[in-house]
Amino acid sequence: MEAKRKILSPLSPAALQILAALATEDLHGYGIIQAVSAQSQGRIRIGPGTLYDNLKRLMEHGWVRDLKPASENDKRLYRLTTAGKAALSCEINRLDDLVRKTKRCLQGMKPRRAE
Amino acid sequence: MTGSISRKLYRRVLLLYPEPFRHEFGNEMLNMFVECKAAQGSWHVLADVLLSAAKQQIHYLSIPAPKSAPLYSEIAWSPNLARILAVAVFGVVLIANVLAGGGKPKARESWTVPCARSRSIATKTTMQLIRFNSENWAHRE
Repeated sequence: MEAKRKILSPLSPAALQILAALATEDLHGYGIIQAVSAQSQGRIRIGPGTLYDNLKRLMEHGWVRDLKPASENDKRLYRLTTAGKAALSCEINRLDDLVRKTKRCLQGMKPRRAE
Repeated sequence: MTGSISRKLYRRVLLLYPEPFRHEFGNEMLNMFVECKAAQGSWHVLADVLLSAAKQQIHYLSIPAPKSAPLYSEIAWSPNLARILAVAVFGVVLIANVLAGGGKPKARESWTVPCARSRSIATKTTMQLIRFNSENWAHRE
């Protein structure tokens, strides 16, 4: 799993946004699009093609799974799995590290060498 | 673009996806079109889906076919282009033959000779068998 996470890291912006949207609650397809738009203040708008491309890939890696609807009228929900949460936290840590280092550089401080 | 035209176009674009992908997500993608169109505009949605369909086609083409096919795997897989062409050519030849033949089968003269020969052989063999049987029965008695 760790190896797979390394291969896929860094995640594409769309995949990262989808995982972040699913981290809060289970959502259906259009719900994910709305959540992504809301969490980026409308700057990122993913279309249905991009959404399902990424969902399929994430499902293949076992990071997201679908919940079968109880009735035919219900929409299919998508849920972040434990592996997906781990992958998301790994990516967030990577980005956090990058942000911290870049901030230091911008403030004119020398970044600490990794020990 | 009017709603009905863009919806029809969207349906057509969805057909460009590989069959397994369409089977899994096609209905959901179709159902969310109206909402997505209202929020993002039809051109944005259509372009996004078109690009995604191309990506998926490339992805499915890059997957190698299984080397050792299990029993009855042919049923589960869609036929490849070569097979479809072969069947189409065979069908055309068959239809052309039927049309050229005029529908009513004609007796061929060349068939009568071998038929007569085989009939005489069959008769001779039957006679020999009868004779052999009668001799056997006579010998037993």
